[in-house]
Amino acid sequence: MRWIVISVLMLGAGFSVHSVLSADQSLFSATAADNTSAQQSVDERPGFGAAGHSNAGRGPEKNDGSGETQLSPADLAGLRYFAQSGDTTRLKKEIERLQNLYPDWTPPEDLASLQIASDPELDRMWKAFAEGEYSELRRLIDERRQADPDWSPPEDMLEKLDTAEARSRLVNASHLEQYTTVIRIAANNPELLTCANVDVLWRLADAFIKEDKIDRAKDAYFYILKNCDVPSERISTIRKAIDVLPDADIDQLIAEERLKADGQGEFEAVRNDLVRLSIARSLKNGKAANPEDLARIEQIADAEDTDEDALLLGWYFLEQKNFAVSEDWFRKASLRNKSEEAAQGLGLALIGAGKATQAEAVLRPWWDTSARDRANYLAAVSAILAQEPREKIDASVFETIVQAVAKARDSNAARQIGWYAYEIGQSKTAADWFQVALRWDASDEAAAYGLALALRKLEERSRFETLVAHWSDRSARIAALAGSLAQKSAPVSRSGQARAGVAASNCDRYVPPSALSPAAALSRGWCLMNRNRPLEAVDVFAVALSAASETTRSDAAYGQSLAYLRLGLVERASVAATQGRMSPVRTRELQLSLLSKRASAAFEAGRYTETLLTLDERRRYEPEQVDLMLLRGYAYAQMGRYEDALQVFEALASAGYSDGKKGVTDTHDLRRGRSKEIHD
Amino acid sequence: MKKGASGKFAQWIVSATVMLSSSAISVSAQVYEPQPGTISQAEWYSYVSRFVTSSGRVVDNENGNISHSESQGYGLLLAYLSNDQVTFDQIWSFTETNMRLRDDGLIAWKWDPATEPHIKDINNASDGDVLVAYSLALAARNWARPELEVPARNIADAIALNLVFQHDGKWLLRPAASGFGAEDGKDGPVINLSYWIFEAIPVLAELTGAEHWNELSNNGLQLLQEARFGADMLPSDWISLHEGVAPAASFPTDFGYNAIRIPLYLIRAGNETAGLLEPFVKFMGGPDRALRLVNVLSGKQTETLTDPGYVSIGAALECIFEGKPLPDDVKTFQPTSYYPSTLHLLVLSFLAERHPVCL
Repeated sequence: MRWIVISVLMLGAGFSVHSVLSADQSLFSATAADNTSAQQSVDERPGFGAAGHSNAGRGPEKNDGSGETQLSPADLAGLRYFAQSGDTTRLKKEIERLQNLYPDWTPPEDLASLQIASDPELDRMWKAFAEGEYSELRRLIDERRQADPDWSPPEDMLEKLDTAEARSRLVNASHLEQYTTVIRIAANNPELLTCANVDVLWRLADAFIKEDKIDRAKDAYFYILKNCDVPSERISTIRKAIDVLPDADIDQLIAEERLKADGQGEFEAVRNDLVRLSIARSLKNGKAANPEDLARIEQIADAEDTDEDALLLGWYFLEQKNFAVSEDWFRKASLRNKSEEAAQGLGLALIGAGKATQAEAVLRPWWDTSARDRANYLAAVSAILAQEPREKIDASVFETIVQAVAKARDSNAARQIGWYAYEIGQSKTAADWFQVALRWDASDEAAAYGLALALRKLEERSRFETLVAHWSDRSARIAALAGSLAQKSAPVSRSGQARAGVAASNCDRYVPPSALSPAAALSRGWCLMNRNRPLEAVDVFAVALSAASETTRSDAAYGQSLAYLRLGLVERASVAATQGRMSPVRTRELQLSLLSKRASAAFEAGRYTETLLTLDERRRYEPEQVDLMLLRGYAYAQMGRYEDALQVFEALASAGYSDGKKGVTDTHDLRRGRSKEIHD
Repeated sequence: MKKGASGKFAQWIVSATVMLSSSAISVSAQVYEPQPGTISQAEWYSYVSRFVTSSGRVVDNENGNISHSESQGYGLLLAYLSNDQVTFDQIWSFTETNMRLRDDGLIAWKWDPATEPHIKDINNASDGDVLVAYSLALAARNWARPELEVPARNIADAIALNLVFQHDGKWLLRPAASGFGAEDGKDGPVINLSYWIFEAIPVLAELTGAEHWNELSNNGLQLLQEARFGADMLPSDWISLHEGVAPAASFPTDFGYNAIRIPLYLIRAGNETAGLLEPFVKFMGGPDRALRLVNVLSGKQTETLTDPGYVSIGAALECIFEGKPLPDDVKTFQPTSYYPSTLHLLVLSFLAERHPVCL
């Protein structure tokens, strides 16, 4: 029973095989042993003393004269074989094993001297063992025993063989994820659980994790770090533990760190992993990370060309609501690996930073990848739809948006599309979307309100009245709409298309523009504008521009530039405006619209100086409205003129505009992010 | 670690009286425990050289050289019957190390040299488990190898716990730990009567002390009386107990490669009752010296097997019940393919011990 002596010696203090294994009581008849029982002599252990190794009582010869222990040739056979075969790893392990077994024994300096009393059959057996031919070794032993009844294998050979088979079986079971079997084999073969088999200890720990016995797994890792000396195995142990153990346990394991000869901690190599762990913890708790850890990981993330650390930092800064820095890290990650994760992170950072249009573009290719990705995409869509000033949404983009909203049956987004359509004058579309929103969420009062407004604009009297009646006891603002359609005082937009009188003629039927007289064309143009068909109106107004009448030409130029404006074609609108002499009032009105559009366009294109110049020019004609003030604030912020930006936003905030408050926050974030960048 | 033997195996012959309640007949059967040395060295070595690798793997050479828990179990039983401890230890070493890995202590049913990992499906096959536990127990007591009793008992316990189950008041054997229950298919539970290795059941009963083994035997015999399908009154390989007793529709409804073992297992267990064996004697004997496989529903022949190993079962029945001597090429053993050769040695070993006159 020598292996038990070995294992007790190797176990040292603080660990016992049973303490690892006792978790699964059903597997063991022996009770859990505490630390001291590991020191017990073997024969006192229940269950082992009577085991059937016939040669268990044999021991090495003690040479009284020298105090040196002389080992029998059988004891040395393994050593001899490994020395002969040049298997230095096994040789070293065998020497260690013998030394643990016989502390008085010193290995011969000249291993060649071991060649004495060679036994080729025995060598063949050790060869089979070394090559993992365990079944073959069993055959050789059995055959020799039968041939020579006086012969018995070296006492450690059968033990080694049992252990090696158990080890192989444990590894097989571990591969097949039969974790109970892994634990059972370990329990039945405690001699496996030593520093000579760190791989087995890892597999056992893994089995414990899988069987939800985290503490047992920790014991196994702890045992390795307390007792085992191979540096690479120690480091791997910490690495494995980091992946599976709770934080507090890892801290305990790290406390077992040893110093290397150069004075550095041995876990320096995994320090980066530990720092990552610390950042990941901060991310989880939403707390600010240790600045040293952060600096270290930022340095690594900058230097390497993989995306993992960049992603970690992206998420961390996102959690910290530092959107600009988060955006930078996700962009870096995405450059290194165009992953879905990087895209999602970037999208969320952009949404956070108020760059909804960019966010939508980043998230669009992934919109249907998973439920989470759809939710992120819809968040970007919501942000776009809620943007002031309204941005023109490209038809192809709109198609994706509609698909995503439909798939998610997101009433909130449907309602927002409704508002968007309503505000760009597409009342019919707006009504449809409000209706959809209500279908998905019948209690959506805001959608009902939107639908009421759209129906009123469409003059769908009976639907309007039914709706208002249906909601009036639940919504004061809908109730207040009652009767408003009858008054025929459709709200007039600033651009003054309410020339209903002029455009009374019917323009539903298609007429080729060339067939129209200039006067008829002008009338039809306004009609088309009222029906929100600006594309056709552009062509029709073009016919009217050929009129002899100065007034008609002026009206046509005005109409065409409005049509272009509605189409989002700012430059064309300003060209059109020059084609007829207009009244000063109209010129001013048109000019103001053009300048607003141009400022927005410049901002969107990232031309902030131009944005400010345009806004300044516009301010000469008219005091700036809220939406344009916001635009100005963000332009300042983007140019790094934070104080100017804050002045604008704070003014808006103090006047009660929540967008102003958001602007203040955004500016601070932006400034912090930038300074971080410069600092790096 | 190996534990001391309790040495409680002393009985060499277990007698069992079987009451077949449904048919109201009673069958008295003696269960013999087979002795080592009933397969000659020459026969056994020719088998080993063909089907057992030096790593202790018993190879099904007609099935992509895979091993089954069944082939390992047969290998162990044949090694025991050949009194070959050396090969027995090798086969057990392989089985234990590479296949007996399931968390419940049972054996994975298939080991394939061509795949990595070699085991792709962790399910078991109950006949393999029974054969292995039985062979280990025989070896433990007859070779005075108490250390083999430990795994024998562990596997037998696992069989009792995971595979023996009750349905409609009857104790039955699942074909595998998963996949054949009432919840697994339209015609579940599905059983396979050739997994009832009757000779093993009393031995397993002794190992575990569990109380349902005897009923398992009895219910198997009773089912054999009921599972007489078609004109030939033969059992199908797979039988549904969903409603009554019927060929399982989710499998080929054949008297096939599985069911041909049933009469062999009956006679090996000492159950040489004409009433139970009659359909097999009628169908498997005959002058054409070929074993026919049929669809029990249509009566249509699916295959004709002429390997002496397959033929040996019917020949043994004819010898026992009709006194006809075995044909010469069935009397002697030549290895052909793993499965028929295995059956052949089991037949020869049995006849050598109990009907030497047939040889």
